[in-house]
Amino acid sequence: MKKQERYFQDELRRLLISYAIVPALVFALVSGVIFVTVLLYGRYRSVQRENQYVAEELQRVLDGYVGGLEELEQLPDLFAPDSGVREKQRLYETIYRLQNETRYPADFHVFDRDGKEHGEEPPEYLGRKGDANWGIFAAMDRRPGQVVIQLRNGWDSQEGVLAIGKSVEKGGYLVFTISSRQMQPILNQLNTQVIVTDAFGWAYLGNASLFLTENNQVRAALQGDDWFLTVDGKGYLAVRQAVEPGCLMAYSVTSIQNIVTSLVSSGLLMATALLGMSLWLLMASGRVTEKKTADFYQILDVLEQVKQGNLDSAISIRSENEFQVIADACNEMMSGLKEQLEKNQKMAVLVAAAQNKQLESQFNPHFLFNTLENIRYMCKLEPATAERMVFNLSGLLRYSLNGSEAEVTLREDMEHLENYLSILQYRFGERFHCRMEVEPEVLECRIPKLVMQPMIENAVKYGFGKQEKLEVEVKAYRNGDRLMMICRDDGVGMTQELVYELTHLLDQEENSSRHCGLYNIHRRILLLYGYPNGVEIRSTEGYGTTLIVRLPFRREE
Amino acid sequence: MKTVRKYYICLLCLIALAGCAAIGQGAGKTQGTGSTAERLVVYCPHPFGLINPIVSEFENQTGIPVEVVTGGTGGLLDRVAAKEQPECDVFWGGSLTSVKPRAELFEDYISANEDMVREEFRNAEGCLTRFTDLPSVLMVNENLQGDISIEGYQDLLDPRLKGKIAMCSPSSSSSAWEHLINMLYAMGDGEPEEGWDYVGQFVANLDGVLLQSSSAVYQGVADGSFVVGLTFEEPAAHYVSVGTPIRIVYMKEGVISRPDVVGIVRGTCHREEAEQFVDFITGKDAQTVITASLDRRTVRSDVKGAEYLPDKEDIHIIYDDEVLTGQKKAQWLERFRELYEQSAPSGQFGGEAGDEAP
Repeated sequence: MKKQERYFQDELRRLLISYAIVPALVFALVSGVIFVTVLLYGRYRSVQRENQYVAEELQRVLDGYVGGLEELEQLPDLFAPDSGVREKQRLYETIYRLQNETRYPADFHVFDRDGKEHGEEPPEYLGRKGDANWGIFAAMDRRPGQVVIQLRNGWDSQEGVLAIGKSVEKGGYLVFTISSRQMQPILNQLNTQVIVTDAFGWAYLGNASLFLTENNQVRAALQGDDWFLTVDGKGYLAVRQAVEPGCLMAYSVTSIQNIVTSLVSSGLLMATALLGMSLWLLMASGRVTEKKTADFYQILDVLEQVKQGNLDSAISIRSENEFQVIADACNEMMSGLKEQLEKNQKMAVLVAAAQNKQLESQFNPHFLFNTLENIRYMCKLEPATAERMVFNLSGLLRYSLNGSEAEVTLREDMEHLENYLSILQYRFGERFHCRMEVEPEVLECRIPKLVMQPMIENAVKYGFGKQEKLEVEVKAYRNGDRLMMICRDDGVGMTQELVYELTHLLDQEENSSRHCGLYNIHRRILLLYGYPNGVEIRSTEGYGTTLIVRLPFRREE
Repeated sequence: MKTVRKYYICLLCLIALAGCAAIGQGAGKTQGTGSTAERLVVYCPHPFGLINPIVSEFENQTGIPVEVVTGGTGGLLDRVAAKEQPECDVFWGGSLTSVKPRAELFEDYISANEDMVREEFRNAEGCLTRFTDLPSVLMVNENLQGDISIEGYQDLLDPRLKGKIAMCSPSSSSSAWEHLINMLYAMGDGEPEEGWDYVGQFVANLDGVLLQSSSAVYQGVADGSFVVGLTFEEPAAHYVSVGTPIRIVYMKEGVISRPDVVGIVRGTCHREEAEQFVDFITGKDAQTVITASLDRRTVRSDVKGAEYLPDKEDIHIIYDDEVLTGQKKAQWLERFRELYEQSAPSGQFGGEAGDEAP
């Protein structure tokens, strides 16, 4: 049983593993990926929203002041040294309105053609108009009549100024300036980090110093178009959008380090749990399935024993499941089978005994007839011999009729064989000679009664033919756990057909022919000891016949 | 059973692959940023105070984005030679004598403004356009000077200044190299070999302190780490103009005033933009702004000198033999190194003098 392959248990175990561990891993992975995606996407959307907000605010402010420039340009006497009260009032009305509309106040400057404001030099950050063609004035001069937007002092994180200017035909320059400090409130409502730069990467506004160089320029990493960045080993999501294309860029960044950290820790937690579960399952599955399949294998074990003929074992199952039903049915079936077999066996024994008795009591009538005929002659010629012959014959008959025991020792059988041999000696005189060669060791062997007599009878029957003399040799010896009895004669032998016919006859269940001597012993041996014991005939025409009787070697106890 | 298992394994593999691909893609993208293909890369030892306004105006006027890489002249030249990333297009700055020995790194270019450049600042080599005129000066922190008189090189031997003098390694900074030449000529009375006695004493008074970048010199004096620094006029003048208690000392023994240069790096793939840059910084507008507000002396004949810087006539200007200086550079740097190591056996000499070709 131990050596037997336990396919059913293995299958059950594999089932447990592939429907528990594998799905758990797959679901954990899939849900992890979905979780990450959803989290990151949510964060990305919020960055995108805030970036959109910053860009739109900036665009609104720029549009407001660009529109304001065009509006103010229409005012008369803007460049007159002493404009009237009315003009001044209109000017201030417009400026205040613009400031309130945009919500981010700008300073307004009017410069004459020499770049002077009421005779004063312009603020240094705007660049000079005088000797050098520099700064916003240079840009306005290059494109007269067009609005120019330029970031001034972008390298200074505190002093950056956005200048919106225009060279006006009427004789000067109009410039709005919005310092980065004035725009600062735009950053206050945001959760993400923001950098606003000009086209060349100089920062105007920003609260993400990590992404600025020491020179207040946006780092190259942010300028690409990647939505995911790593800086100093930390992950960031980035969104960028142009404002007033070619003028400003708004960058939004948010750290996803907290997402990464929580993901890593929950991932570790999950991995540990899964690992523990997998290990437990791998270890326990053997034990659990063994317990669960124990009943099954017990039934199998018993059935295996039944197959080999052992009906004595019974299945004992105490689990209250289907196996109980199967086991009960099996037990019932087996006990029924056992009862039936016992009955059959008893019957067979009875039948064999009856048959044996019947067979051993059969005595060849030809022999009886021949002997009696001889005795009749002897009565006239040698009455003393006739008397001994009658004595021998009667001893032989008594022995054969004594039905009390089926088996005798070889010695006993040989003693009674003497009667038969004497009779043959009287009958054939010098023509017949028999030699016995029996190993002392086998003398006490148990054999069926009257086995040797039919062997010699057979030799006499088929041996003489037209021969004058017949020599018969009988041997008995032990061959392993077998007793071999061999009867060889130097008679005429048998034809192949006869040997075949006799061998075939021996295997018949019923005997209807006259060769009943050999058949009887073969039949009795089979009934008593079973195959492969029995009688074998070997003969070659002209060279005599050999009979071999195989019996189990069993001695008198 | 088996097929179920195969199916699961396939699924797992797919998910793992997808994950890897996503991570790989993310990583790849991050790597791909910082492309400088469209940017003009300028290597520059100047301080940001000078760089920013000029670069910013150049960008605004031409629309060409510029990436500036700063550092010491010697180190930057080595990086140009090694073709490090980002690859340099224009080398802007460094005194003539420090850049000239590496002239092979530069392509010939005569700027559009060459006619307006003063005679002595013409581009004689063909590849080195003069940018400004830079006298070497001493920069003194007035708050820390106390009663020590500092008017020239001789005063730097004062034992009270031991370890309080900021100087760069002459092999890594052009300002320090210029000061070494200046010392040798000024203290040797025109005979550089005579000046080495002084240099030996001076190095001993450094007390083993030698800085790596010229910016460390003026920043060190301004923040009070040192009492006096050996530097160019411009950064010192910048601190004066913003009101830091700094005094500029033109050495009474003599001042060598050297032009610094700009060159287009050989093999640049932005030749046109590089030419625009050279023309821009030597143009009248830029030179005017530099002179007026960025503390430098112009090389142009049509731009007036700054009003707040002393006229060159009022300074004791001396001249060196530029050919000799060029020939002796490696030898002198080596000698300086030896003197330095004698004075401070444990000290680290910045850079290897032997690296510089004569």
